[in-house]
Amino acid sequence: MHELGIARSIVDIAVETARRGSARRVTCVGLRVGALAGVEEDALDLAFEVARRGTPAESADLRVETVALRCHCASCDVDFDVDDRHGIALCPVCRKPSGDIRAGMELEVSYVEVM
Amino acid sequence: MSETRPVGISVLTDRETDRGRVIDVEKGVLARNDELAAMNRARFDRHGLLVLNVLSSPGSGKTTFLARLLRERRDLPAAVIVGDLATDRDADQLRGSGAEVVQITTGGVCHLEAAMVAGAAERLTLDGKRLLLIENVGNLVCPAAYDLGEGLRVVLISVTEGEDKPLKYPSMFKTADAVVINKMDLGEAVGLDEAALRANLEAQCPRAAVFAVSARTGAGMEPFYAYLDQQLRAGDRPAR
Repeated sequence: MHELGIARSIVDIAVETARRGSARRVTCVGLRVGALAGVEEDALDLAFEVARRGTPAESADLRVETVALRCHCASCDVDFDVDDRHGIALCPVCRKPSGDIRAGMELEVSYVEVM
Repeated sequence: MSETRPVGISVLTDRETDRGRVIDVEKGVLARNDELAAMNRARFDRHGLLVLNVLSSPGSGKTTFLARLLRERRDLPAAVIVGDLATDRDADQLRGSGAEVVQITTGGVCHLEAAMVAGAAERLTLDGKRLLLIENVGNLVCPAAYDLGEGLRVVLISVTEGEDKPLKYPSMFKTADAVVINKMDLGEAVGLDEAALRANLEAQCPRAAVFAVSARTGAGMEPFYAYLDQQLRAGDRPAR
């Protein structure tokens, strides 16, 4: 479980963004989380609650946008979304598995709302 | 790691809302780790090192596997960085092989990070080495997210863990360059369905090289050594 470390990084980025924007506090943090980012959302919510304490992000919400796993099939030259819960990426055209990941690994702060 | 600099933030636009301003950030949460990993990778490349990040569940046999590799390939001067939650037992076992070993005790942290590897590398003599083996903390979830600056990700899975393991840990197996199926000497005893395990690996990580070995008996290690030699010859691997 490394969600607390990740939550601390998120809070750091948010607070630094607010500081640079001469804002007093952070009201919301928008996070983009890939299906394969290895982050458990409930654990992250809990960790975020802990990490934000005593910072200008103390009352900030965490808004998570999930990004599907997206792979590329080289032989068919297509990108496709994967909704298999085990992450098995079968090309919709040739049905062969792909290991060429194009999206779904991200763990990014996309925006910060400040006041 | 001596430099301290602020987290770089690209402020693209500001939008006004009733809740205040929205500042677009677009910053990777692990960006600092990725930067340090890139610095590690550049440094390892300068030394001409092939760097393996060795990952598995606890008890899959990482240490036994690495100890055999070090014993049987003494022609490849090697350094080892061992991550362990609390003890230095693994490092002790690997020192017996004659390789230079540095221990990172993570104090309960579930994965190695690029900064820890940078610090450990400071304590090693990299000149003249060909191989740097990084034994990660036993864990199939968290270490997948942290680039250490390695050239190859080698994931071990032992036959006792079940054929469906590659399906349960997609991010770990999807990012593997090589998968080593270990404890093949126990395959019969645990009723291993090797074809099913290989089919699951093919589905999850079709690009990974797969090896079936017994690190305890030494069976099946040769093809893995040939793979290492091939990777060493290939030299400058393009960064992932």
